[in-house]
Parts: sequence; C-alpha cells; structure tokens
Amino acid sequence: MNEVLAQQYSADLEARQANLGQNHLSQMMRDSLTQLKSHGLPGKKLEHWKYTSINSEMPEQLAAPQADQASPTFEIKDAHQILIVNGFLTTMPEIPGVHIRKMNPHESHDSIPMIQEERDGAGWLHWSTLQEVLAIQIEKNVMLENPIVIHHLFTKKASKCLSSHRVVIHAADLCDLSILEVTTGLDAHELSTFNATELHLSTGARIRHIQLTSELKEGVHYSALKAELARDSYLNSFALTAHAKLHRRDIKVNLNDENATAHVNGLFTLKDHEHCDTDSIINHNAAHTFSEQLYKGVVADHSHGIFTGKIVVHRDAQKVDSQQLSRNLILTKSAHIDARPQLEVYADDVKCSHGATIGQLSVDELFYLESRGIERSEAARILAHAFVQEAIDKVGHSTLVPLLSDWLSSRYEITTTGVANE
Amino acid sequence: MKLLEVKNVHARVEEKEILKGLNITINTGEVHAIMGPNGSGKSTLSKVIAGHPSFQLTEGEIQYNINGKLKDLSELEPYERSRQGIFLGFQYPVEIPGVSNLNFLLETYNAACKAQGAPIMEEEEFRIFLKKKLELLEMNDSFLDRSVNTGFSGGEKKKNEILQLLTLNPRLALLDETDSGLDIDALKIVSKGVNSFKSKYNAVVLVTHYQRLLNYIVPDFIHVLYQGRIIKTGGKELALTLEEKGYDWVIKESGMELHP
Ligand SMILES: Nc1ncnc2c1ncn2[C@@H]1O[C@H](COP(=O)(O)OP(=O)(O)O)[C@@H](O)[C@H]1O
Ligand SMILES: [Mg+2]
Repeated sequence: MNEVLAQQYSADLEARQANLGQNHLSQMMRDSLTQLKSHGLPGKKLEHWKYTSINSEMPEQLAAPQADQASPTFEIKDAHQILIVNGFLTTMPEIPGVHIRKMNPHESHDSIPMIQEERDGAGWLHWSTLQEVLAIQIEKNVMLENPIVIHHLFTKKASKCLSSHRVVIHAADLCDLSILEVTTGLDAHELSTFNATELHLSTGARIRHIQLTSELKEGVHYSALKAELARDSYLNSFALTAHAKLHRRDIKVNLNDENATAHVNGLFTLKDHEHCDTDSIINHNAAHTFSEQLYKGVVADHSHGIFTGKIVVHRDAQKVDSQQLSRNLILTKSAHIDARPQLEVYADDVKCSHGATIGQLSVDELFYLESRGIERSEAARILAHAFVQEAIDKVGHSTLVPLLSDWLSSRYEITTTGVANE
Repeated sequence: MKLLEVKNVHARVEEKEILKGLNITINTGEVHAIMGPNGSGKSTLSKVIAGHPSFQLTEGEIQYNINGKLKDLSELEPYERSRQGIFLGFQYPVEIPGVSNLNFLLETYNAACKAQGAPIMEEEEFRIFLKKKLELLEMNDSFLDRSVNTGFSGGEKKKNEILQLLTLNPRLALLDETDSGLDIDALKIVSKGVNSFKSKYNAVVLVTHYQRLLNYIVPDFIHVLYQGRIIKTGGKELALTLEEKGYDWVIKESGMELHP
C-alpha cells in the first residue's frame, strides 16, 4: 500500500465509512476500501499513469464536504436542470419517461446494475468515498428535445475536502437524448473530486454525453466515463477541460454488439502549470462495431497535456471500422504534450487507422491570414480558435455547438505570444 | 504609372538561394503572365512580394507605389502590404473551420478600409455589396455562411480566392496558379472574375503553367522565369510558342544550362 495513503488517509477512510448503512451500495464501498488498501494510490510506476503524479496535489485529509446550496454560472435555455452541490443532489426536474433518484450508502434503496471494475487505486478511492449515486433511468422510446444538464457545483463548504459522486444512466431501447455534465469549482479551495459516470445504452439507444470541466484551481480531479453499448446503439461523447489544475480522465467504452457506434471525442485547453491526462480505451467486443475518436489539445505556458488512446479489437470482432486521431497545438515552447495512440487488433478483417500530431501553428496558414490584412497575433488567435472549433463541431448539435464555443471562450483565452516564427 | 519595381532581387529559403537577380517592372493597367518550369521560383516571387516570413531578401529591392511614391516594401509587414493593396491568390488556400466566410471577408475588408481612411461597412450592407460578386462567380449565397474554405472543393476554393480579390479590390493582384485543377467551366468563371477586376488603376500578375488560361485573360507581357531569373519577356504570342515548343529553346537561347 502506498505510504502516503497508509499513514495519512487510513483513519480518514475508516471515518468516512463508519456510519454506513446495510445496503447494496455500502457493501460495494466496503469492498472497494479493501481493494484500495491493496492497490494504493496510482503512481508513475503504472504504465497508464506514467505522466501523472497526484500525490503532491492530494489533500492532507480526506474530509467529506458538507451539503450546501449554489446556482450554476452557466445556463442552458430550456434544459432539464439537475444540481449536485458538493456531491449531494439538491435540485432535480420532473421529466416524463425519465426516472431520477439518488441513492446513498446510509439509507436502504433498490439497487440498479453498476459497473464496479477498476484498474487502479483512483477508481477504488472514488468508490470508497462515495457520497451519493444519482440514478437516471430513461424509458423505452423516450426522445428529449432539450438536454438534461447535471451541474456539479462546489462551494466553500467543500474546501479542503474530497468529494465523490457517481452518475449511473440506463437508457432503454431506442431512446434519444443529450446529457451534459458541467463540473465547476466555483469558490471551493483545495478541493479534490473523484467522480464517475456510467452509461448503459440498450438496443438502438442514442445518447450524446458532454462533460465540461472547469474552475478547479487546486487539488486532484479524477473523472471516469464508462459506457456499455448494445446492438444498434450510438454514443456521441465529448469531454472538454478548461482551467483545471490537475485533471485525470479515464474513459472506457465497450462496444458489445453489432452495429454499436461510439464517437469518443474531446478537447483540453491548458495554461499556467495545468495538467490534464486522458486515458481512453475503446473495446470492440463484437463484429460490425464502429468507433471514431478525435482528441485535441491546446497547451500554453508550462502546462502539460497527455492523451493515451487505446483501441482494442477483440478476436471475433471482424469488420470493425475504427479511426482515431490525436491533434495537439503547442502555443508556448515551455508547454508539453504526450500523445500515445495505441492499437491492439486480434481480428484480421478490420479497418483501423490512428495517429497523432503535435505542432505549432503553421507559418503558411498564418501567412494566408496576414496576406489578407490580418495582423499576426490576430491571425494566430483565429487559427487557434479554428483548431479548437473543429473538436467542438464533433458534438454535432446545432444549438449545443455554439453554446460550447461560448462556454470555452469565456474560460480560456488563447494567448499566442511566441507562436511559431521559426 | 509605375506600381511595382523588382530590382535585382535575390531571395533565399533555408539557406537555399531561389531568386538570383530577378527584375520586373509592373505598371497600372497591365496584365503580366509569369510562366516557367516547375521549381523555377514563380511561387517564391509572389510570396516574396507579399512578405512571406520564410523567405529572406538578401540582395536587391522591391519598390511599391504608395500614394504616388515608390516605397521599399521590406519596411512593411505582410498585413500592411495587404492593406496597401497587394493581394496574393494562393495556390493552396487555407481552411479555417469555425470562421464564417462572411465574417472573414468583412473583417479583412474593414481592416483595409480603416487603413486607407475609407468608411467601413456593417454586415447587412456588406451582404448586399457582395451579392453581385457572388452572382458573377456563380457562387451560392450559402458560401457566405460556410467556414472559410472548409470542405470546399478545389474549384470552390479558387473561386473563393477570386471573391476575396473582388471584395478587397487591391491595386496589385498576384494570382498563383489560380487555374490549376480547374475544369473548363470553373476556369471561365474565374477568368470572368479576374477580367471584371482588371482596370487602368490596377495590375494583374498571373502565375501559370498553362497557356489555356491566357485565352481567357489576355496578358500584355509574358515572362519566362527559370532558375530564379527572368530569361525572356515577350507579348501574348509567346504563350503559343511555349505551348508548342516547350521551354528548352528559351533556356538555350538565354545561354543557361538545362537542368533535368
Ligand atoms: N519553404 C521552402 N523550403 C525549402 N525550399 C523551398 C521552399 N519553398 C520553395 N522551395 C524551393 O524553391 C524552389 C522554387 O520553388 P517555387 O517558387 O515553389 O517554384 P515554382 O512556383 O516555380 O514551381 C524549388 O526548388 C522549391 O523546392
Ligand atoms: Mg508554384
């Protein structure tokens, strides 16, 4: 067991689990603590944590936050709004055909299927400290015009705490909707969060899932997305991180039956000493399954962006089509990118492509704009925005795309001093 | 009136000398065609005039007429050259996703107006201003709301370059292989655009491989560029001879060595 964890957190973890009730969730949490004790916190010795060390940003104690009230700073017109403040549900909407409820480890509840399968201590720490699970069950054939927006907000009462929350979404056959999760630090200091989302897509279900992460100035922020896709289902997932000190995102998508399709895209825009590490695994477990992935990064100052994307095509998964591309833009020489596209193919009749690019703005592209009378710094700004926009466009939704562009431009100003002149 | 004078220009990229003592004078009201084998330095010449930062002028001078006076261009940044009426039509126009063609045109148009002390335009007025130009180029209005060059076909990109030319209405238009990759219909449309731009107040420099373009845009002068120099200058008939006999005889006549 990791020394830091042993000495510092053992008592905290016991305390957080001291008053658990006797229910499905509390049992899962107790089992997870055993797992956590044997795994320890993840460190650079693990290949998939090679570039990220969380120890220095972890809080001194693993105190649980207190419940509070807050309002989101980002509103989406006509959205069905769910508020989770400091890891506790405070507001939820009534939506015909959609059942929303919370489960906590203190009260008894009906359980729902959940995926309790982790690779390392980060996932087990999430389970061990879980405050609530938000369960969303969408009935068959339900189509929602307006998105469901889940705001994860944090107030002063979450300062110096570790907050842990899980969203579990079961989408029944042929339903079709968009879900946004917006994680915003607000005025919490030295906060760490360990959150996860599960998506279960039944036959023919179509889900668009968007994760926005921002204003997490300190601490460690771990978020996981796990998706299970049944026959003919379609997932469009997009994660956007802007302004988070240390964000680690784990993605695992399982394409389990024919004609399941996943578009797993993302974008991170970093500055100062920010660090964002995405580790994505897409498993093609069945024949005729399809995936596309475009992950983009923009780094400035001393920031560090990492993308590790593994595509696994299992033995009987013939006729799979999978495309993956990691594209990265370095705005300042002192910023850093590590991009690792990985392909594991055990079937023989598949179409797979993957690649990564890392570069500065192209001199020729800049010159095109300059030759139209646009000053160099402005030309650089326009091109960097265009770079970012290509990723946001993958969301493929006429009202959400401009909304996300606005969300980003009010949170990340592209600084282009020192852009490619050589 | 003398618009541009290129005097004994030597230019290099990455330590490699490309232009080796090039001279050319362009007056308002003239159309010049620059032809020559691949790799001769035709694109380099147009980029050097527009101010591409990868190319260094090591010797000679480029003078350009600003307010009736010839001025050394090396003092102007590329964006300033543009605002002073130098336009470069690109062989490979750049895609800019997320920036609408309309906004791009309006931004560049207003920047030029401000620089020249002319009144700027609002979006609605500007759309009306563009309408005739779009019609001339047989471009659908929807072009304005698409992202600049993003997902455009080769022909659409070239038409879009001409739309920018007509919008910015420069004094010197350098068109680098605007005809490459165009089918005959697109070539006619592009030529129509250039011909409508041409006036006694401006000049056009066509960089091309093919005599075909010159059937539609008739040049006053044809220059053969080889190995970084202009080795022959003639009238429009020269294009036909070049089409028929190739470049070898011009190169031999100039006393230069034939490179494979
Ligand atoms: N950016 C560059 N870096 C290195 N060499 C270049 C660059 N641009 C052009 N060149 C070289 O300069 C020469 C002239 O190129 P160019 O001006 O494009 O010729 P043309 O347009 O006549 O075909 C060629 O040998 C080409 O390889
Ligand atoms: Mg060329």
